[in-house]
Amino acid sequence: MPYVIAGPCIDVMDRSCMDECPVDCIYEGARKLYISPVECIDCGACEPACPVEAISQDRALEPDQELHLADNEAFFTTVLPGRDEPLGDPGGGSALGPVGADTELVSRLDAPA
Amino acid sequence: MSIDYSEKIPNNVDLAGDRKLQRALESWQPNFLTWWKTMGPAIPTEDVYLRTAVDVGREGWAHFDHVAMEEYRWGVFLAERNSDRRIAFGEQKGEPAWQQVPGEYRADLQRLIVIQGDTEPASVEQQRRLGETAPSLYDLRNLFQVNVEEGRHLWAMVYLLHAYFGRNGREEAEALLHRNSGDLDSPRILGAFNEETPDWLSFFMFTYFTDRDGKYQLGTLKESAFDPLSRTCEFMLKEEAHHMFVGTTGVDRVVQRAAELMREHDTEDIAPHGGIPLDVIQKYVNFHYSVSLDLFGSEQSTNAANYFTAGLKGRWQEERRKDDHVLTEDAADIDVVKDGQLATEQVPALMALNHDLRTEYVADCRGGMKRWNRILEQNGIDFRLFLPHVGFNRDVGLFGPHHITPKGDVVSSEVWEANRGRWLPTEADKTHVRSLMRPVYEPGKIAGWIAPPSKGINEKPFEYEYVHFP
Repeated sequence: MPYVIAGPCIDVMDRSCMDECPVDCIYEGARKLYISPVECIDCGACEPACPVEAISQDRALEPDQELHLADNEAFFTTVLPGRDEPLGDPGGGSALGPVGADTELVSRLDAPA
Repeated sequence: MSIDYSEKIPNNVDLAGDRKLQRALESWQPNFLTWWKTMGPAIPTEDVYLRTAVDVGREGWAHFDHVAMEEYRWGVFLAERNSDRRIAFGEQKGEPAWQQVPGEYRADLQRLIVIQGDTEPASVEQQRRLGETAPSLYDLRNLFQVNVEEGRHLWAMVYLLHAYFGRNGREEAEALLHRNSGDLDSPRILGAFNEETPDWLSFFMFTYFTDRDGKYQLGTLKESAFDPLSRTCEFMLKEEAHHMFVGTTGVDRVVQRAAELMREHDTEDIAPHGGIPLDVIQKYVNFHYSVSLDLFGSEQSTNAANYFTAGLKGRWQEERRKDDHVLTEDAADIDVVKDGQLATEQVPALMALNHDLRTEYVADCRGGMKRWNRILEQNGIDFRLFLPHVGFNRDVGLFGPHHITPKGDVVSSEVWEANRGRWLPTEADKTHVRSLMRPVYEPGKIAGWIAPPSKGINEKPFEYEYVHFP
């Protein structure tokens, strides 16, 4: 799995990364952004755009952020609150617009200090 | 500062404030345009829907419009300057980044810039004739976008040579236009950039594997203590992302179409049905991956150690690494061939920096395999693509003198030659792929060997008229 958005994005959601992504694979939850692991092409354009260094390659995640690897995937494969089915591969974050919900993990995490 | 498009050469480096440099670059510009006309895209077009950089900041940087290609505004764009930036590694770690070239590193820095610069026009030359066989207008537009941005990357390196390396730099800038890909007398510097890109599968493989090498090489130069080089490479990486998009999704679509044809005709041999068989795709992976691995240089390298210690070239994601960034006390394991067997050997970490970068690259490439195999899985196809062993088909580095199979067995030259056609594209494979390369220029139509993209460019539909012909 490729690039991952981790905890520092929670309640920040700067969205600069969304402008950089050439395949529009970054999606907007309620409190955090998520990268579709299926759509990401591993180009790395998003990583330097993030002002809070929330984005890493999967293999470079800090140990305390590794839970976001599975959680980014869960955003697309589990049924989010208020929805009837998983997002799946929606084909573009800006095209889809704000999803307005988060994974269970992000919903219960505090914003980074 | 923002980009000044009123100037003859668009730039955000205040060229107008340095008349000597401005004149030097303005005298190089006609030579560049002559090179573009003679060595750039061969097929004539009226205009192309292209992205042009309009800013380097965080508030959006690209503008899309139909542009006559020879009127594309190639320019000099550096990422925004951080005036507090400090050197992140090597023996000068913690000192302010350099705004000028220190005399003792002049030759090495110039060499690094020339080698990077040489790759940029090379790929344009390699891809010169591809437009004649584009599978769709969408793909033709993507090819041209890659080409104009490689041309801009040449501008980026030429600016550095002119601005910081005096007469030697200007001579090297001229030479970048005189070497040509595959030229017997005056070839490009690196091997992969003298290989042919004779068909679109090669193009997609090149933009996946070789441009991905570019991501990693630029990533190490972005760490450089020489701040103008760092800022140049940072902005180039933004543009390089599009090239990787073209490669990744291009191979996606070839694999997807192969799977569809296999299902439709219930056979792996889809060549008679106008597809590219998966075993041929695997051979193209083997070739492009292995020649791209050569671009990382020898696994053990004194040059790489010296560049790092001096602060010229860092590691991938240097500032995120959790070590002392000096590495004089560290060790690393590298792959070697010992007594005819693959083995690992511990060497000083400083000597293994090319190996370190290559390891990062290989991890990225595994992602590509996973992605393409997911497409096969979704189509109910059992075949799986894989990366060959890092020692397979290598000319450069510790594996160069040995013959290693894709599975990682060390074999004799006789065994290698006897099996070469199973592992690398044969003339028959290439002839078949070439036979499929027929232009499709009607908006919304696509060649039969590749699936259409899931969406168009910049929210335009696939059917959009991305290219107009005279």
